[in-house]
Amino acid sequence: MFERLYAGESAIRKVRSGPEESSVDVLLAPVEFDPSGVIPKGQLFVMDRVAQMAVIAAQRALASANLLAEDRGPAAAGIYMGCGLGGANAIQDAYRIYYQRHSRKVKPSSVPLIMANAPASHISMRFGMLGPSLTYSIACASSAMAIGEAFRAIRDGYLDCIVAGGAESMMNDGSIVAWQALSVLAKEHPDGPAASSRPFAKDRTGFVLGEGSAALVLETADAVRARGGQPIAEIVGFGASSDGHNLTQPAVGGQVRAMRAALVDAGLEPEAIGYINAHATATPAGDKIEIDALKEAFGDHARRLAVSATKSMHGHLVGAAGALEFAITLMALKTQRIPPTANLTMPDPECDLDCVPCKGRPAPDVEYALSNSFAFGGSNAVLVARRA
Amino acid sequence: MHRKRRVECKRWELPAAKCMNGKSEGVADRGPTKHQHSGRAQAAATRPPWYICTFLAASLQRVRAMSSYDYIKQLLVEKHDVKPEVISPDAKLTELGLDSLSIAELMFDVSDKYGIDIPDERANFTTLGEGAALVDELVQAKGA
Repeated sequence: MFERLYAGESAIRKVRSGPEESSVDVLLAPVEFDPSGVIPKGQLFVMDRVAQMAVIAAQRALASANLLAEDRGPAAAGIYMGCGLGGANAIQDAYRIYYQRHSRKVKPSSVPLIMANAPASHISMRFGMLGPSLTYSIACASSAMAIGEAFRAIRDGYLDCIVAGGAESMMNDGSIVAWQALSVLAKEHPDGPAASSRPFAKDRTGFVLGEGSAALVLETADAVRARGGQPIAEIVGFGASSDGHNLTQPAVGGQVRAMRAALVDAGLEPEAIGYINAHATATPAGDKIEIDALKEAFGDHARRLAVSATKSMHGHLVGAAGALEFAITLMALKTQRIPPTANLTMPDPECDLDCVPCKGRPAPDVEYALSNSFAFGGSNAVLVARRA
Repeated sequence: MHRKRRVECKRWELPAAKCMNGKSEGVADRGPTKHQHSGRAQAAATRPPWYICTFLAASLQRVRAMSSYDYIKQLLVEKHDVKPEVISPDAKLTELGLDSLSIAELMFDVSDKYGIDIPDERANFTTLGEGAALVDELVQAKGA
């Protein structure tokens, strides 16, 4: 996936959505996956799409960390997941039965399908991990907050191993119309669906809804070394703040406080940071506010930062966005290559930092990177990582 | 104060981006399939005398196929991953490895498929055969 992002490949396309008689084309970045082999067939009916994706992401994370023994994970491990909504498909199914058929008999599995902590619970059950399983629901910052809190739990000695990440899937028409009503979604670009998410561009119109799950295995450096494992990178700081301002409009001050808190937590001066994976959803207001916040938090150094918005390619994963983008940030550190902001052919003069337009680039000198996640509700989460 | 420890992130992974599944299952499909009867009367005039026997056999088969037992078996195998060889009319639901949520979901699916209500006071059957007979009875009562 990182290779495809580095090459500027977009997952965004047009999907037909809605009841047949009134269906419309919607821009989405959907995911394709096959749960067989990972999720027992008899469990699928009680797992919404979001939980299935979470279990698959956790399985791949645990497997690549060599932490699966006889298909089970470390028994003492915790699970820290982010999820904005929960089982969005089950919500729609239940309402469809209730309002369309006028029946009070909805599926008995509705509640366990819908609850937002189901992804974390399924990871715990599937891999026999018996530490605390927590779910953070903080809209677009959910999984960044989950990773940040997991980082603290390990650093503060509460746990030695945590599967941390996020999952989100709202690709049904009931959810899509709600996002459309908010007027934050991108319009189709004349160059096609893949060109429609345009962060930092003068002609940006909003974001494209994505879906998916990203999971990381967090361990102490000692534990990784003792097992002879190779870490991707080191998490060094986490900062969080609230705007205390507006539900949907971000604020420079809150973002600056979160970035400063993360740098203080990491014990770093702003000049240490080389790459920033921006929250940048490509809404006209949001991108400029983030650029202003970067200028305030980083001062003169802001012009030397490489700032890229990978939502231009994978879409906005809402509750999974922070985890996916932090994972991309870690891969950028590991591979010493910065993924681009796709579609940035016509930069907005008000977004006048180095936004890595259209083409990824080698970055052998970047030692520290930062990933921003700013949520509806004014919750901000910022993670800092160091090259391993 | 934190007991500060270095935290390293080990591995990450996510499903490859591409395309999504179709509609979610379970809601659109309702009611038993109506059998086709058109053209039967015209065809009868040209049938050989032994046709009546095959017609009877076909009818019996249709009655068996319409029994809810087969549908319940199909649900158990396809949705609840029960091995076909352990499914029999004498098998008890609790012996098939189903938890209470799975049993509730099974009853929902069967009620939904046939458009019936299984009254609580009649939901005390133990074997699959008894459950299927109850469903068949409720379906017949509904049709009468």
